[in-house]
Amino acid sequence: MRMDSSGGRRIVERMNRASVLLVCLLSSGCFLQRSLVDRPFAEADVARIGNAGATTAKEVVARLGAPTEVVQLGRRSAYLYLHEQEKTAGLFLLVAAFNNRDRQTDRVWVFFDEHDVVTHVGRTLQAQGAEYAMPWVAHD
Amino acid sequence: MRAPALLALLALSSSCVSASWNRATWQRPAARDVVAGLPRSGIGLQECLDLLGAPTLVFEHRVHGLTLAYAWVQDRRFGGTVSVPLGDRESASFSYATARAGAYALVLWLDESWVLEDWREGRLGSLIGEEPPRPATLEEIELTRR
Repeated sequence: MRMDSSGGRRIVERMNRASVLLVCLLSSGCFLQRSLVDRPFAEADVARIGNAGATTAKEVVARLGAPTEVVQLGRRSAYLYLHEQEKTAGLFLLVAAFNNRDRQTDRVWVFFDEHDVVTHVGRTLQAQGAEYAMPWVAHD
Repeated sequence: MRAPALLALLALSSSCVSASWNRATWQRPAARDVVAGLPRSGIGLQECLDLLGAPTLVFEHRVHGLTLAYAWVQDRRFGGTVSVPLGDRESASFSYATARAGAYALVLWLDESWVLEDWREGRLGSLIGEEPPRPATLEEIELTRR
């Protein structure tokens, strides 16, 4: 079968386009990754801690389990309950790599007096606010 | 046509030219209006917790007092590398990177009755040191008994 020169050129051009497309497909990629530490907190969990002046450290541990961290405060103490969520998004475009990591936490601090009775409770539930984003997007 | 295309492909291949843009965020700073309305001193621990939520760090302040740190990290890094083969065994490369990194915090100090003494905002390291202080020993606690 004979082929004229313009037909041959067209085939070469198509092959070139296909190879560029192939290079793009092979060189590019993206990923989303989520990692969690411990289980999320809900307002109901905070309510289970009980009242200041009435609940003991033993009762708090029985209701919420072992704390993430125990801090000595002179003769008093504080327990930290922590849940963490991290979301990472990455994009690779031939020569450029973009990566964004957002880590947010649920934190509940329970403060005790020297007799291990709850005196104060503070909570921040932000773990659900972790976002997948590109690095040029500012988080609120 | 083939030579420029080959050169462009070489330049675009990640072993010759690469760029990166990374961002890492940990926690969010306290809302500006809340910080603006925070009294300089005199309010109790529960009021601080109700206003600002749970801190990220808690440790002793002068044995019986409290330090609460509301820390956040906003890390941004840009980088680029250019590598040019000069011969069979040599190549030259140039890298550039810029970073705006660091942990910031709103730090509150409460006295031994857990009443706010003072607060400041800034770089976490300059406010509380690179490492949180060690807990007081039993002797220190007894010596400074409330």
